[in-house]
Amino acid sequence: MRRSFTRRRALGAAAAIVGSGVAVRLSQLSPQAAGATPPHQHHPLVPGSSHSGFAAGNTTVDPAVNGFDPSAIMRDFDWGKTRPLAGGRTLREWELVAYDKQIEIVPGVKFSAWTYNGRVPGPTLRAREGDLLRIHFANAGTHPHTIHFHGIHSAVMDGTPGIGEEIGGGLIDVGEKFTYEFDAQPFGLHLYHCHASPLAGHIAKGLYGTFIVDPPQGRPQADELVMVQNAFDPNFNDDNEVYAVNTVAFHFMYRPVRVKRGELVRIYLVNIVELDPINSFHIHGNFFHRFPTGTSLAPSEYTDTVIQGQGQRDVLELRFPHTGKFMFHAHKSEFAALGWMGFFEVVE
Amino acid sequence: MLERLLRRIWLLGVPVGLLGAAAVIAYARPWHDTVPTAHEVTVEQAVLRPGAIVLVVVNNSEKTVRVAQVILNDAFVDFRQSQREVAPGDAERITVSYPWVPGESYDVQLMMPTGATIAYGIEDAEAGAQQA
Repeated sequence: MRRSFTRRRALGAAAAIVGSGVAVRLSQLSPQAAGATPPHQHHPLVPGSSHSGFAAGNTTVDPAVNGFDPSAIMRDFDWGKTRPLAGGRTLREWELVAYDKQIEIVPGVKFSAWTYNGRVPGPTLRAREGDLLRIHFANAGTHPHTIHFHGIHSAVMDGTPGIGEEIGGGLIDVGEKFTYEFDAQPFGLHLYHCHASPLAGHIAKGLYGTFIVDPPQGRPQADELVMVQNAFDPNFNDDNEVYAVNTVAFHFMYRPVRVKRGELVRIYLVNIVELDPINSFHIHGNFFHRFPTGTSLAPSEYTDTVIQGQGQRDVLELRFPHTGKFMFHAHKSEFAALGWMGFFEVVE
Repeated sequence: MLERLLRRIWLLGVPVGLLGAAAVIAYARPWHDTVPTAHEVTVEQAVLRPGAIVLVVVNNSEKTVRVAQVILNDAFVDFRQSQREVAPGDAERITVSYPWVPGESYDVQLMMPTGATIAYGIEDAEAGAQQA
């Protein structure tokens, strides 16, 4: 987030608005508001209750409000409907529907999102290298959309406006459908997102998801977690005000990610933040092995902080030797203070 | 004759209508939705106390408003208010717990449930009341 106004200008603007009514209006304040500091209450989600900032309010968005839970998204892998093919290959099929939906991104604040299947991020699609994939897409939104998959595939299946229109692809209009079909390659941690223009707008509104292609031999058994770093600009000033992992600011401060001591933890870390050129991930009390884009089985680095540009992904592997609560957050501290921070809770 | 006239009107109306619709869409930028505005809600006074900044917020609009979150110097901060909603014409005191430092400056943004923000600046902080 960039400071979008100067203090001097804001003071001037506010002063211009202020009339002679301050004294009158102050007299209208309730005794509690006008005088002593009111008692501190912590129930911002309960209608009619006093509001407290969630920073110390020990609360997050009720998953029932959004219809999805950032914690559940973390371990929710959609392998699709499968069918064996000749030659030993597997066909995997999914149905993705784009539609508009209001979501709560920080307690008390709604954002008009565009979603795949009603959630932000969209479903985590997962396959094995060499599988044949079919993604049946329907646009039930209010604007033309596409699904652009990262990976190796033909041009007409790329989800780029203007490409593949001869077979019904390209930009998929409202009410239209299209089936993307391609092989799962290469193995690694990929993305899918809308590629309609204006591109930043369609992504920032929520049309993105994680696409994982496992190596043929698989990866070592682990507790696997999907962390999609995202952000929102709810006042539309081309600056993000709210940052998160899996959409809801500070969610994992109040719902820590529970993992077992000594168990291998694998994090699929995706950065889909628009409007800010870089993001980062830092963990407390530990180090991790980094596999850039997940396309190699040999780690490139052993570190506790990783920087990611827009659209960049990394597979991270680590074990927690100690029990307790360990923070993880963007080491761009401003992002952390605006929502992108949480806890691991390591248990026996 | 009448049929030909109606046909001409129809043929002329279609492109004019399409052009009009395109102009409306381009102007409204529907991909940005309706830009929320909160200019009718103002911060009219700030009182700086040790460890706290108290903001007097006045609702000049005709609708009940609610401050959902407070951002101070690019960080969500804890705050208290005595009532969940501010009625039209009413004022509310919002107390932000913050270790402000004399002489420093602060940017405050009050975030409404729509995501709209109200900006307020404090320059050269010092204890006491600061009128907007």
